[in-house]
Amino acid sequence: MTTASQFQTGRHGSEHYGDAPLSLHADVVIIGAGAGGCAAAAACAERGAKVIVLEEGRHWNPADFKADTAFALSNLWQARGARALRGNTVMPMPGGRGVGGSTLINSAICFRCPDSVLDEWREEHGCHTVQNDVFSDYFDRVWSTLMVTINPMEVQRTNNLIFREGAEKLGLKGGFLPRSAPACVGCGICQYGCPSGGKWSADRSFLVVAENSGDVGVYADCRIRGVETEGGRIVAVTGNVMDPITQKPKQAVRVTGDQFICSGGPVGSPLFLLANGLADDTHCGAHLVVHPTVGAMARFEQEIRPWSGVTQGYWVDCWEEGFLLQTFTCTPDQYFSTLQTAPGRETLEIMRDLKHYASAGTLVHDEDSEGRVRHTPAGPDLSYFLGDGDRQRLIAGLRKTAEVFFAAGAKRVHPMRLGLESIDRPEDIESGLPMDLSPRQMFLYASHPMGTCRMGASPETSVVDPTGKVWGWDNLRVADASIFPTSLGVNPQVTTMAMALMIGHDLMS
Amino acid sequence: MLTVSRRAAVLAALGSVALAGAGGLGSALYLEGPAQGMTILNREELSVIAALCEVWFPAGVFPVDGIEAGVPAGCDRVVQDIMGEVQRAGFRYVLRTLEWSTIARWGRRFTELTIDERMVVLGRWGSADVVPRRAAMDAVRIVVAIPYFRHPEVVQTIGWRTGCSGGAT
Repeated sequence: MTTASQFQTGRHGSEHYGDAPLSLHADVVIIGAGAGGCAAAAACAERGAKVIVLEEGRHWNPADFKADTAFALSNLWQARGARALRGNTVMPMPGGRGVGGSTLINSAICFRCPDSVLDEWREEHGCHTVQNDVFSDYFDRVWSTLMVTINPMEVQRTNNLIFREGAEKLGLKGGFLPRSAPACVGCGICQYGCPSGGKWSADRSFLVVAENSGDVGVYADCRIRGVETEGGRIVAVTGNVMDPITQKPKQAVRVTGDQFICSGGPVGSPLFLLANGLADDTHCGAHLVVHPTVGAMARFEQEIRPWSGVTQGYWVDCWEEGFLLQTFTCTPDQYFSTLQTAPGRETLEIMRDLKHYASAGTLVHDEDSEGRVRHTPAGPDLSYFLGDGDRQRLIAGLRKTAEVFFAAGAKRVHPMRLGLESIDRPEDIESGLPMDLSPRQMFLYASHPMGTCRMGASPETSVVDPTGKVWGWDNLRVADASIFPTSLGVNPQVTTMAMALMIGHDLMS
Repeated sequence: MLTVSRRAAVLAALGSVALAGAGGLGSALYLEGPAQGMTILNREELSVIAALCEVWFPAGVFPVDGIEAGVPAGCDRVVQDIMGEVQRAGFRYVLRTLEWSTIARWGRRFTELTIDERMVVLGRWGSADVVPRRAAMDAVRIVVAIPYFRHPEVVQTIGWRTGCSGGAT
């Protein structure tokens, strides 16, 4: 049992804490064990620091995961799957919960941050640390640590192969997605936790590197809410041990340290800073960007069995048009929930026929949308207003998705557009998906929140400086996707980890 | 020919809305305890879910319909398993609002409507007109879908299984 003020290396959870208040000390205290927190822990540990990683959720093993929506929602998803953005439409915004953060439930897709985005951060936002050659090394490091690979054909299976067929017939640039899942066996349920252990989520990659590098203690089931300050420095963070079953707070936690890194993600980090008066709301919580997504299902004569194979295995590169296409699969209850056919027999017949369906969607590089994260008396408020340009890119991406499906031989396409049951011929794509569709007429998801503690050259324009340090605080940094000055346009885990490595190394220098 | 003045129509509409509001409020204030064998949902809420099942999971497509699959009781377990107290309260409020929202237009509660009438109501709730209403319906739909689509006979009919065991196609 961990007793007061005894730091221990290794992974700990509420079952180890007993009933006494938990009081700990380390050189570096990291709040949050997602992509950023785990990579920052590795960077600090390998430079000799004693590191404590605090995580609100629990530790998971692959054997714990089940192909069950209720289990995933209640255990692995932030706010039990109810986290959503409100604005000119409502968009669910999934996020992971537990040691590993959102990498527990992502599809393991890996992209390096495009050079043009790094250039923009450096040239327009004053992020002088974001040098392409330096980050190239960090991306290489992430790539090798995550063992990024393209999974073999035998685990891609038909949902991905049929989309490739359509894309190739149209002459579109695309390919199988590089993924941090070197031992993937194609379960098709990444979003419910990887039950085979084939995915190198942050808890199974960078956190292991951190633990093997030095003194690292990972304390799960610890919700951090408060800080103690002295002058311009953080002295301690405080909170409670959480009961992993009831989610009720138990005994107090207090952790002192020399340096603190907040890695609570683009929702948790700004809320933590705001609640404790560590940043004002001029920029903290503002500038929320996401990758809005919308999908479609398509019926084929042959069996597809979309549930089998890599969850998201193939992509089409429409970067110049502001969007990407990516395949996806999900469980029957989720397919049912997105179908816009008439309720009752018609929809149920599609479900009975599900083995003949493929699914894919578009991910938009949001450029003119903006949201905000803030505290309200009723709890966290997440707002987001989809800009007109992004709305048009979503429609263009959805049209392109339908074109690919028809090119692959689909007999019918069901876009996630309210009020439209299906598109039965390629020549009906434009009329079925007119460019004046409003955001609320599409069934949208918000992937990859970013930007709520953005990095910049001045406290007048940003929350953290180019080394991740919170303006006005000597020993507090943020290391997660909240510091991105803009949307990436590609899946963000690699960039998040690279940024966190840079911040950890800078801190230790 | 029967003519209805604008004033009468407005008064009738307002009266209906007031009646629905009073019903919904009364239902919200008087929260019956869980139905027998349930942990969260009461009889009224279970009857709304059963009425939804008759629309969404009718007989004749899968070997079991929504009622036979035990969806109402399954929803009680899902609500208990995946929702915190605030979410539970919101979910139950949506069910009761759905139940009473039809008074103004149809003169009957949702569970008293025919299946075709319920489809019209659900079509309106699922439309893009009122975003919070649609979001509420989306949430209800996923909760009700979970127990149905994990019923063994439904799973077997679809043929769904994880791809972990390899080469399913």
